[in-house]
Amino acid sequence: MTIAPSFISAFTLSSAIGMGNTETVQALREERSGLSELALSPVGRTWFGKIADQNHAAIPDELALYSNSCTRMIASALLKDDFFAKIKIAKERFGESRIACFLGTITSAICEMELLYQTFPDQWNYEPKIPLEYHASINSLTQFTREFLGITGPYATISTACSSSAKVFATAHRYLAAGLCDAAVVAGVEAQCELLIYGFRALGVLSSSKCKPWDKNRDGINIGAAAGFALMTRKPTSPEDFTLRGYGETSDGYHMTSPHPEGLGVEICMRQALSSAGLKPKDIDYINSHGSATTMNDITEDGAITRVFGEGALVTSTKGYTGHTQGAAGITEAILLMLAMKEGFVPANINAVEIDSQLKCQVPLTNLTKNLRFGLTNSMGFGGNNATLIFGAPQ
Amino acid sequence: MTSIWVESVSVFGPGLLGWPHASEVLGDPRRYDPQKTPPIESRFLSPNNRRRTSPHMQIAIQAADYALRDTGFDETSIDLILTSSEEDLDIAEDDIQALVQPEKEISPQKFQNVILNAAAGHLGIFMKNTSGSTTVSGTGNCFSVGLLQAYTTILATKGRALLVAYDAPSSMPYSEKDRPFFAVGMVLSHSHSPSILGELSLTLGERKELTVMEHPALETMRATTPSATGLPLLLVLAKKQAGVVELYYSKELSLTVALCF
Repeated sequence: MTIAPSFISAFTLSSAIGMGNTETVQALREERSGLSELALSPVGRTWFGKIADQNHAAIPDELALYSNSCTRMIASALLKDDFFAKIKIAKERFGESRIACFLGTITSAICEMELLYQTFPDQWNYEPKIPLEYHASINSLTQFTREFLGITGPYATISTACSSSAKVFATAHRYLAAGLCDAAVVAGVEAQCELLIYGFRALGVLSSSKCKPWDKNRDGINIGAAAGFALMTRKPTSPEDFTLRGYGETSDGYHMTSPHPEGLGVEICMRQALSSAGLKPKDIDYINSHGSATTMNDITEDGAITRVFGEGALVTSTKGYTGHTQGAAGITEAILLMLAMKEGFVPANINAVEIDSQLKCQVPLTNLTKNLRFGLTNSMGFGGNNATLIFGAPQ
Repeated sequence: MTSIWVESVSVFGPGLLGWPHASEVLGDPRRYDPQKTPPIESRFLSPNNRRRTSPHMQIAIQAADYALRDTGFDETSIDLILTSSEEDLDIAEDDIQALVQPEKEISPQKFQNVILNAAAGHLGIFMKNTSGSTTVSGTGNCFSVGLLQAYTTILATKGRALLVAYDAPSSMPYSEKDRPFFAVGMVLSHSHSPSILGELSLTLGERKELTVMEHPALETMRATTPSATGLPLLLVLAKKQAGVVELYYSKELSLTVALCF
């Protein structure tokens, strides 16, 4: 079923490669990774996509209960690329109650709970001074974002593991189509926390070197922090608007932490997205893959892409720049895709040295100048949760 | 707004032992006994699957099972919408306590089960479901947020979705100590069918006075258990009388649910 496109009039990304879109594009152009080395306890190391602490903004007094490292990261990110100012204009146009907020995250502000337990290691039964709903609730960042932006429309925290902030686009599209809002802020936020780093170490998929998506010697993921935001509307606001042309949402129904071995779930997801966009495989100029750099992910995703698009589909993973930003990965890669479309190049698949010869996709190791009309991005998460988004460049 | 249809319901919580029992009790609250607690059992919860999941997930799986049971719907292709106030906070605390130790060794199972969509992930695997699966939260308003998520999904797909709202007690310092196990499952559809239980129309608008439960114990559960905030809707369904229910959605908004038969 073909859907009417929705429109994306503003977006901003803060991640390890930059605070805001200008720094981000510069890093992409320079093929520069934002990953930095991180020592593990008690021994070992990994690489992490860190957002610089000094960039964290202050929280207004009236929102002081929400104040923590995650909300300061959000506040800082929302001030980039005039995003905050553009929301103000949207509020004047639509009214604050007609703007929705859908935020994807896995851990929300759990890093604050980690800090408390590490600060008071012998006081398991301490009484927290701030209620959970403001502090470390899964929903706290969504409520903070709504209040910081002064928007009061529909909302949801979407937490479907690494597909969370891809699914916010699909959810916003449905709310817009249903007439429940005229605009929607969609977001993905993941802060630095030990839970993700040591959790993935426990699963044996955390790389001790910079992650190398699609490489023959790829050996796992790096985690990253990010905060990305986009403003979606039902109607176009300017000729510069990007469009969300289509989306797919499927499950593998197979395993909690491993993708379906043949990538069936993500294959169906891409076919759904193409169908909803009313596009053919040949219409897609570039695929920003999930490309997590685990042995299993890249081979299953390659198989799925090849079955849908044929051998030689133009694909890169941008996780070598930012790390795997988890609940923020969907919007991180959606924005990187839109920036690539705007700038007219396919970002290099950095850190990889030699592409795995088993893989059939065409994976450029250096930037490739190309006019990109339609781009597709995949997200795959725990629980076998898949999401695919297709974006169209401004007309 | 466009209507959707309720095709089946399940509910498990203190004094509510599945929809056949709960619909009778809600229709005649004098029979309500909160001391009766339902055992968690489901055809999806084999011994192995019980080991893979926590009670927080199992109550959701039970509600999903009973909402689908005897309906004949294709379980492999129904969209799943799950909603809970929080993830399993006991698992979160176990993980965080492990991180305090110098070794920082987290149990792989407790890592994969700390995510909010752990219940949905396991459920989808047990059902061999390959459709879209979305887990949402709105903390105390998770039922309203989940209902609206299901509504918009059904309008888009013109199909059918299973909504499960669930909560479980937690011993974590942060958590609400007296929260019971509670789960409600609803199969909702875009299309009318002979077996429907009711027709729902949803409107999101300015804050209105909340609909509350008359029975004190049921009202306490509604007021303190986020997934049970839909109890007034279940009451109207049980009585099979047309009515309007006002659900809390946010500081600024109410979700008005009109039910007719």
